[in-house]
Amino acid sequence: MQQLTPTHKLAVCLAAGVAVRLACFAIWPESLQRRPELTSPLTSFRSLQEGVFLFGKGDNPYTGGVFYYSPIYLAIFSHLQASPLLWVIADLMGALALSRIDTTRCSDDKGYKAAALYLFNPYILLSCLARSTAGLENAVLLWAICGRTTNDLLLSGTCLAFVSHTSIYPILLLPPLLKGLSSRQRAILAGAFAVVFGTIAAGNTLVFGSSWIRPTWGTILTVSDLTPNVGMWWYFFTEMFDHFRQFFLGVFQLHTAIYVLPVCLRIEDPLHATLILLGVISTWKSYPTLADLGVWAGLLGCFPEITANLRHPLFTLATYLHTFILLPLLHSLWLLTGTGNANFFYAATMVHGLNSALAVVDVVTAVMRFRLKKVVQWKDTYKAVQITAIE
Amino acid sequence: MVILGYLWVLALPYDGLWKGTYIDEHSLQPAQVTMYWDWPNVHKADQFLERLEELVRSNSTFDERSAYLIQAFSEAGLSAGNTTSAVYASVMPPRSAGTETILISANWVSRDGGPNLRGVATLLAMGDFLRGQNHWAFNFVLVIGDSYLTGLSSFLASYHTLFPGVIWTGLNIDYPGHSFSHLGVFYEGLNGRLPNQDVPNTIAHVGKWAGGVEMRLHDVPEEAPEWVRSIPGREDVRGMVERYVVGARHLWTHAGYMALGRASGAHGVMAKYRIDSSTLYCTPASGPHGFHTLGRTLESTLRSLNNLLERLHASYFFYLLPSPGHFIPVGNYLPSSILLGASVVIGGLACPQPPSPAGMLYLLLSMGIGGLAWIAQTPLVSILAFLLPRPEGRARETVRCLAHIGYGAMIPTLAMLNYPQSLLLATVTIAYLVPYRSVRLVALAAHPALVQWALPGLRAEWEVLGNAFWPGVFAVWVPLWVIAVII
Repeated sequence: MQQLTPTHKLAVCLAAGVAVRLACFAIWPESLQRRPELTSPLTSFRSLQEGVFLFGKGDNPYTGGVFYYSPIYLAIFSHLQASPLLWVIADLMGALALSRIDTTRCSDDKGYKAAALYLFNPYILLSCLARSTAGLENAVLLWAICGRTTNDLLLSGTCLAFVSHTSIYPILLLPPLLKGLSSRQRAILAGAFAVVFGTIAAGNTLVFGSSWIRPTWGTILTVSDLTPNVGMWWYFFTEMFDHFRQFFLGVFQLHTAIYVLPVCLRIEDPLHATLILLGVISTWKSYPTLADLGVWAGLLGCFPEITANLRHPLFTLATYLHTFILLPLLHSLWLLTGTGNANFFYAATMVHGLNSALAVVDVVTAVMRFRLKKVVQWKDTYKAVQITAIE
Repeated sequence: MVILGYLWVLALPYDGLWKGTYIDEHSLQPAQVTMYWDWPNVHKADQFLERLEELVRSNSTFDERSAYLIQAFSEAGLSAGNTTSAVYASVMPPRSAGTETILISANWVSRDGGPNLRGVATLLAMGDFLRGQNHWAFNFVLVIGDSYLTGLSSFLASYHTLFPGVIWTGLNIDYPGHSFSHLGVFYEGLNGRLPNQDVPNTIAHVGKWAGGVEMRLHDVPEEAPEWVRSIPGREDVRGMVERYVVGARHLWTHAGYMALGRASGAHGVMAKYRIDSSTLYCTPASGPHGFHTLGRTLESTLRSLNNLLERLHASYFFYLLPSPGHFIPVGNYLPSSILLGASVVIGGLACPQPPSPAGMLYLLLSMGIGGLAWIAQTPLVSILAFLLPRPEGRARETVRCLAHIGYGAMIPTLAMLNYPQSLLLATVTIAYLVPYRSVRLVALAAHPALVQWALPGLRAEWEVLGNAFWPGVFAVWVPLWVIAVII
């Protein structure tokens, strides 16, 4: 067989990803939309449909109390048909962004491996089939990172502003993205971010007054909806006394935010810092889904120097396989057959979360090892001992 | 680790790992009631029995039988009807709210294969008995399904439409002989679903204290066989060995049903509908018990189940019962399965990175052969594996390691649902994935087609009842066989 050029390989990859998704959409039932592993109250397609319908009727969907989407979605889906094609295109765009990041950073194979890793990751594929809006947000987030990689700062700032509006946590990615830029470039990025963010906020307030802030950002920050998901928050806050709720909310949110400063100070490469912080966010955000992990894994695929330095990748992957089977199994054991209870599902969630935490630590270790290897002249192994002392 | 895992499994019949059973749901209060079932009811049952024997002797059709049964129930004052393969009667006591129902069934064919005459007679007499009382809080539905399982199973498929109320618990009566010496409790459901442990525990407790009959699990005697008892040596050591052997027999019988996903009695088809149920099997003997004992045991059990205010949830759903008065909790048996699964996964951690695409292709191919075998409905299609070119080098390593990791992940997750089945999977996986090809080829003689030959009813069970073992053979076992051949 004639060797395909990398561009061809990328095209084949993307086409295959699209084809698989279209085929699955044709045959798969819609039951995936209800799965707690793939959707959360903030990303559920059914909730979005309901909100758009109410908005179309002229009601304010936020007065119902169960609609947590940003008004951006209402604006988009009032005019756009929410067909499966949109999600396929979103995944395609995400894969393209990843391939551009990969190409720009190091490789000469047009980034088809990174694109393949993203498109055929079961987490991303199933989230696409479940029409979780996390897929749409992932695409925008990846373009924000891609913009930073290719020095297209306006794009980066705009995309980041959009994603921060819908789910607050990407704001934490602004500091690492601002690293390593000249002050003029920083001004552009931050300025674009602020302008777009402000415009959207102003637009939202124009249409909805202030009724949109509490359901969207308020839910993310105060965790008012305790539907079970793959995160570790819901169980804690279900059994918590109101007296302590504020305290624990502060602690949990702080835990996610507290890594920003140290990582940005310690890690030089802004993309490495972004990678680590994306992992931190995906693991410890208030309403995670498998798609968040998927986007992190996809981004990891663009850093072959990091994956080469991971200490226990197979163990992590094997544990993810175990939890991938156990999470739906124990959820159905709890709610379908009634032979288990919430603790079973939560235990699987905790294993999943712990594994993700281990993976984040592994990535941090790999980043440090890579830096060390870069610094050390391996021809001169005797000097390495002295250089490590300086580090 | 594999050795540790199997040693743990072998240690399970040792009573150091057992705990005494207790009734978790406090409202059940077993064997605390006065029983009103007495000799007049036994006489009624005998009268029904005569008529039923006539029906069986004259080779009656389903319509004739159902006509008689409906007539018998109606004469007792119950509203009765029939579906295409079952007859049912509704008992609606005056003080019951009608929102919950207890199901009592006695099917025509016993697990021995013969007609379950006295079981049906007991049910008819019980219907007559229940009608005359006013202290029940549940409704009852009495079902007589046509053959061993299928009549009851088709009744359950439409039970929501036939009468109001949700069924929480169920009992099945299997009484093939003239009299019985022991009452056996069968509790395994279809696809390895067990009822809440309170059900077999309540029946065992009630049978022992209220019925005065010796209880057994399945049909396994509580005494060790003769050859064990005659081993020379110290009394206490021999006693320990006897207890071990008896426990091992109980667990082996249990595993025999669970590993294949088969129901051990007609109650098994109720598990799918979240009905916690067991079968009472009267071991045929010339022994001392008959309608009187069975009726009283049944009545007392029903009185306990009648006390429930909510679904059974307090006791365990995952357990092993090595003896009527003991159980092995999950924490004492699950680690063995986790050890086995982990050992298989660790065997696969030396995967080449990145995995070779040719290797992945071979895996897909093995699954494809599994699919082909499913279409042909025979596992023998896997012989095609010998025609495949064997992968070399990195591809081979990839196939081997990914198979290890994948199947190793399946073992402990399956153990959460059906422990004996996971042990079967673990044994098959470990035997097939042994590193030495010559040993592997010997192990491969245990082909999945043997299952089809030894148990021809499995396919019918899948089609009629939904026992997922049969498709599982094609989805899991056949690809593993193919992989074991090609690596």
